[in-house]
Amino acid sequence: MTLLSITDEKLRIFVRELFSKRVLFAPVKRNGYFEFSRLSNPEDIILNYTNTRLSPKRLFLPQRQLLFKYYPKKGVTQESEEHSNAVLFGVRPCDASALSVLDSILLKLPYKDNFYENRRRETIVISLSCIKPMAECFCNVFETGPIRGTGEDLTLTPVNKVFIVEVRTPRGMMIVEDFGKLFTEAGREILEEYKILIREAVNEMDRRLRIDKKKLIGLEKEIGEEFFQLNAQRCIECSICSFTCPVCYCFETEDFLEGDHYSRFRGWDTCVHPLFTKMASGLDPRSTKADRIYHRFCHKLSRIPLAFNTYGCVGCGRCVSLCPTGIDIKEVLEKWG
Amino acid sequence: MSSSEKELRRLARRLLETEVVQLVIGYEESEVGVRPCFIHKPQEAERLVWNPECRLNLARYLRDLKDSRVGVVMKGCDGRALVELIKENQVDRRNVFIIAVECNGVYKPLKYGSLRQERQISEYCKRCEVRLSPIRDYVIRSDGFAFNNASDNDEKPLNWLSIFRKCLRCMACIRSCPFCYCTECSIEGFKPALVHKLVDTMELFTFHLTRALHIVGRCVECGACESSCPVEIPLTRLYRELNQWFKENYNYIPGLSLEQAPPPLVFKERDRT
Ligand code: SF4
Ligand code: SF4
Ligand code: SF4
Ligand code: SF4
Ligand code: SF4
Repeated sequence: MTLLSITDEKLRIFVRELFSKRVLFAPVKRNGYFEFSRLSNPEDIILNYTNTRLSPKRLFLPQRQLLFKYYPKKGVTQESEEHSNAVLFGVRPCDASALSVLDSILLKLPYKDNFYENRRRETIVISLSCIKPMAECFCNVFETGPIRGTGEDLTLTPVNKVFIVEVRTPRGMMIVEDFGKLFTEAGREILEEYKILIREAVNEMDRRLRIDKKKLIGLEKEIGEEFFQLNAQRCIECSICSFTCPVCYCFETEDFLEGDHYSRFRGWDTCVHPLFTKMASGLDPRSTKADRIYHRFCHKLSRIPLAFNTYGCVGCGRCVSLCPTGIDIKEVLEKWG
Repeated sequence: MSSSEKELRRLARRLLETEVVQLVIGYEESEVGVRPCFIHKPQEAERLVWNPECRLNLARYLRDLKDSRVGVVMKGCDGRALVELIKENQVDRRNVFIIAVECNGVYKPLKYGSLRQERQISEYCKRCEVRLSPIRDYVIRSDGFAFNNASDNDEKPLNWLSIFRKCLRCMACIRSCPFCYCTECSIEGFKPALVHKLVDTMELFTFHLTRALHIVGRCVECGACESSCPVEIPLTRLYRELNQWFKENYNYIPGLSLEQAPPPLVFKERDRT
């Protein structure tokens, strides 16, 4: 694909231009951590951040979302969504790749998720490669980072005072053409440096954790009961691991009577919750904590790959860092990968 | 390894070897930091650690272990929580061997994407006055670490409405709290659905006020909820204010003695119904 470059200064102009034409979501400092926020001032943007505490999936699959209203006389009405024409700027490669995982799952026929599709279509995604991965990161395992992800339109990588811009989709090409004068063709020297950077970044991470991920397909059969019992003892069944995961996409719905109509909402749900599989009859096919942890790991690492040909984890490390009881998906990878 | 850690491991080993207990619950170090651990065999006692990263309140695990004899590592606040749980009939004192460790405060967790890089003692620890569990079977004095008690508490009023809007409703505050043991939580229940999960952000306010009312006069300000919270909501600030109100009105501080009856469990004729 096409490789271009842009200077720091011109990148600022690019951001300002995007801001004037579209709704801009970008990393900012807030509440003691980095988070994606709708910018009201393009100067607030932070480009040397680690990663955001919460993944940007909330822009595509919101925590709560109105699906439709039902009026007994009029029937069903759908509201139009507010931030159409958005751009998600500076997302980390792992989180951008999570979007392509979600595409494989949620856009697959016959059960296509139209709400997700709309937001995905309306939002340009521009990623920012990681030069200094955090201790929690293991994107090298799934090849979803640290340089380049898989779900973005443009990839920016800081190399020696400029940014290499890699065009990843036809839509990305269109943006670059719109702002043609800001970008220049990348010189041979800088491309050489870019290649070295990619190699070194991956090698560096491989030294920390390297596995054969194809073996994970057999996880369901191989994984031992004992491992789950040990983890189940600790797990307190909060939902942090799935709510903060950029890939977890399970939802539930709720109907609510408001004056003269019903509203149907949907929002995040998770398989680690004890009520997730409990049926009205009282029957629960995943009735113990160990069953639920087993499901979570196997779903991500072997069932999603079998059904959708992609992994349900992109190695962002959020669940690892935020779990209050230190339950660590990397242990599964190390033992069975 | 600090000498308190050495003593802790030796004790845990003895307790398991002599079958005084069948299980010791403590903390271990893993790649991702300090986490709770469950030790069944004497030789595994070597995994135990004791340092200011030992945050989670282990009393919450004792509720599920009604029939076994368990040794448990308790900080001051953890022990206070256990006092209340015993009075609420959730734990049988005879089944627990309390390894009381002298606590000098725990660090605020350094989580994913944090702006802060340096370690800091948690706010709730700066407010704490009970460093040793009020009930105990063995005491381990601390040597390894200390923090100065200078309280730089920032007690300016908080805008709770905007703070609660951040809440993910992940339930980690509820699940890490020793006192949230209702089999059907009123916040999560469907029959009736008192707090709607998905409807709007005001429901989050209802969620948090409901929870605050359910634990006022019981909460020991151990901070397990606050340190688990992925979006850093300073929950203990709210609970502390309510606890102070409770103390003024009912003359009761939770978790200090097994004898003093908790006001919510006592009927007095002058109580208004
Ligand atoms: S975050 Fe940790 S404790 Fe919470 S449900 Fe997930 S694995 Fe269990
Ligand atoms: S499972 Fe954990 S590490 Fe993997 S993508 Fe989800 S939050 Fe990130
Ligand atoms: S997991 Fe990889 S892509 Fe994601 S933040 Fe870490 S280094 Fe960057
Ligand atoms: S732990 Fe924090 S985010 Fe989770 S439900 Fe409690 S207050 Fe909300
Ligand atoms: S509410 Fe929070 S601080 Fe209070 S006892 Fe429960 S976990 Fe501890």
